[in-house]
Amino acid sequence: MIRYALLALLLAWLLLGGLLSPHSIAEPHWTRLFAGADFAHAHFLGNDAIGRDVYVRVLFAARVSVLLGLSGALVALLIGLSVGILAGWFGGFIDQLLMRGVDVLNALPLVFLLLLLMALFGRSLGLIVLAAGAVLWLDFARIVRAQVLKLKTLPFIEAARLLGAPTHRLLLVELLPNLRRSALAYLAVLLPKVILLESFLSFLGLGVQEPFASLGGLIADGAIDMESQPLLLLAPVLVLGLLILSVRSFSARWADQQP
Amino acid sequence: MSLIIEGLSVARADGAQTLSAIDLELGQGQSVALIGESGSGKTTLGLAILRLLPMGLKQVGGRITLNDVCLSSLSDDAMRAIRGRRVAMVFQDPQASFMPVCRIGAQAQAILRAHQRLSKAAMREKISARFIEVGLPEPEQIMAAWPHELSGGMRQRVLIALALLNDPEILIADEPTTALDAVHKAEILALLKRLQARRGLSLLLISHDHAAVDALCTQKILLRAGQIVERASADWQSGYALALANARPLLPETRARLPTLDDPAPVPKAARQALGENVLRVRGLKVRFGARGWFKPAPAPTLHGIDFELNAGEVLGVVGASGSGKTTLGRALVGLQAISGGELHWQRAAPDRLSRARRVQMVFQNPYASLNPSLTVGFALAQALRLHAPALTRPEREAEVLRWLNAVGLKAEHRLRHPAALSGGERQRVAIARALCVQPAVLVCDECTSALDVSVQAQILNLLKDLQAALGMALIFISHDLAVTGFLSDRIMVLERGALVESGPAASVLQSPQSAAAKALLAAVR
Repeated sequence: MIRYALLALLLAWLLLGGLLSPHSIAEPHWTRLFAGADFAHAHFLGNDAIGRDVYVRVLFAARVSVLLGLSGALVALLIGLSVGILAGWFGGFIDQLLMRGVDVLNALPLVFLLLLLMALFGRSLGLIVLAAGAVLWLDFARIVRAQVLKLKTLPFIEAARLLGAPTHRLLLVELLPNLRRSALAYLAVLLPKVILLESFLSFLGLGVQEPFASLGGLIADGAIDMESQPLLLLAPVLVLGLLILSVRSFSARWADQQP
Repeated sequence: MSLIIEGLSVARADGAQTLSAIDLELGQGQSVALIGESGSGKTTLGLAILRLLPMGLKQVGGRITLNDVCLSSLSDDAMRAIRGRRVAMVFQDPQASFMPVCRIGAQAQAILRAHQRLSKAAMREKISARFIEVGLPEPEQIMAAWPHELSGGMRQRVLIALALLNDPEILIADEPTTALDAVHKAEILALLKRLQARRGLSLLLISHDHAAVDALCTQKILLRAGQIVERASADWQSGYALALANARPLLPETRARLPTLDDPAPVPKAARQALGENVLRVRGLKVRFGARGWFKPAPAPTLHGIDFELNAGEVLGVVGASGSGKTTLGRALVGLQAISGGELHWQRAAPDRLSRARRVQMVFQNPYASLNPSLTVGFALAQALRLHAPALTRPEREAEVLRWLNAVGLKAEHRLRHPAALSGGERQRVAIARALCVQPAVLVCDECTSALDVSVQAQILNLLKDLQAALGMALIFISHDLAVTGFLSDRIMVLERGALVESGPAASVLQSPQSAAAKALLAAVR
């Protein structure tokens, strides 16, 4: 019950939290540098180094992080599922090729890979999503491959084959639905991972660019001014923590309830 | 010490009751048996006592008291202290009851640690003592073994020893002998009896095996569809109980249909109508697994020199002990196993995948694995129809699905169920419907009743017989059970070590078997 309430509350806040505040994300208030909370003027969490409203910035940053997390996780799931199914189902040379590819990618340091992509293609939100997906699918591909190896020997696959089902139908109708539990469970792992990864990139200054912000960027900025205005650090940290907590507990539960 | 169950009811989330108003009393040192077909709720009752009901099932009424303590009022922690310590359970599948990646010793220690604080040495000593008690003379070896290294009989013994580790007062044994062959079964039953006498253990035996129950228990409770039908201490009285005992085919089988619970006295066997034209000719069929290596001779073929013919409308029984190659023969016929020699000559040419599918279909042995767990029954059947009758509109296809469900004795409501919500017999009916809805010329049934209860087996055998007569397809029925095969078949082939050792009309094979293999199989069902 608590996990539903928490998730509902977070979603409602992400969607409607903007209604509470009249301020915009980039608007500076020069009289309120590092000011504390001021409810009379709807600065619920105070203002940052150039007087921007912290509440609004955290809200926008949380939206950006959730969207990036979801799309990054979906990209990773999609690549992982495709590679895992192809490798597990066809076996032999294809399996060797794909899995050794996974090994090679696994051996490369993740950050190096990301920096390489950033250097080649410049910084953009879309690229961050792709980059996160592109480095996080490796483990999932292995999980899927192992499951497919097991599933493909079961009689229901043989029965469908005997009925004359073409390969694409075997994969999509018979195999794929049986992988949704793992996919959901892994989504629970991936989502926070992507959010954390983006936060880490923003922390390095490679993520979402000003005036927009992501939770990681806010935390990085907040850490600098931690002593003069602790809310700058605490607010985004708290939101990130709650987001990850609720997504994890919720989607793990969701995966368990699949038939 | 006594376990008392009063008016226990368990219901599914949709309100359907899987157990209703069960009363049961198990006193110190008593042994009570729960008997029933699969789906009768006997395992559910065992799980309800331990409060381990699976998701979707809930106790909705009644109380379970252990020494005047109501179990449903206990906190989870208090319940955990009872589970394994005072009431222990031996689960049905000995293979699945072990963690495959831990040695037996480590698993035993975990069970001890859940309830007691003991030193390592004390734990080892206790575990050894239990292993010796259940007739495992070398406990050190067992502790160091992995679960997969144990044989079926040893696994069952180890499981019993693990259940007894914390000296429980009550042991619930769920089908402890089902997975075992006749010899091991007798040993395990004797062991349970000995343990019960020596420890004053109260035993709740869950089984569908009437002989096993008679050997072990003083009180028997017969469950049907979640209700108690009869309590007995010696012979059964009710018609249902006697019908269960009668559902097995007898030799020589003279009945046209087997007696089932709905139809206890079917009409006698009629003469078979004339057979149709030839559909399949097999010449010198050979299957060999593995190839000759550089330094290794070629392995012996699994099947060799198989010759036979099959006519339309004929039922051909294939019998043999395990390892005789009968399953391989079935798989080779449907094309799931590549053949290494000989030829399969089908009357009907099949240039593409779909016409091959309409030539021969198969019903598999294990109904739990032959249906896709993620798809509803209706969707699975619709898939088959979508492939083979793409011209059908959606409502026509739905109607066709219903027609096939009816043909195999299922109802419209089954269309929306997942396989997990079906009993073994219902699943096998779905598998039969799926195979037949493409209207194959030949249907291969590979041990398709061996995973089912006898009464369900009788229903499935009758169904196959009816469908075969109605649709006129040829049926190849593969089984290790000569009585079952004799009931269905016009002709029987006996396989031994990959070779065809005997073949002839069913009546003559059953009455005067020539080969040693046929005689042995016949002795096993007498």
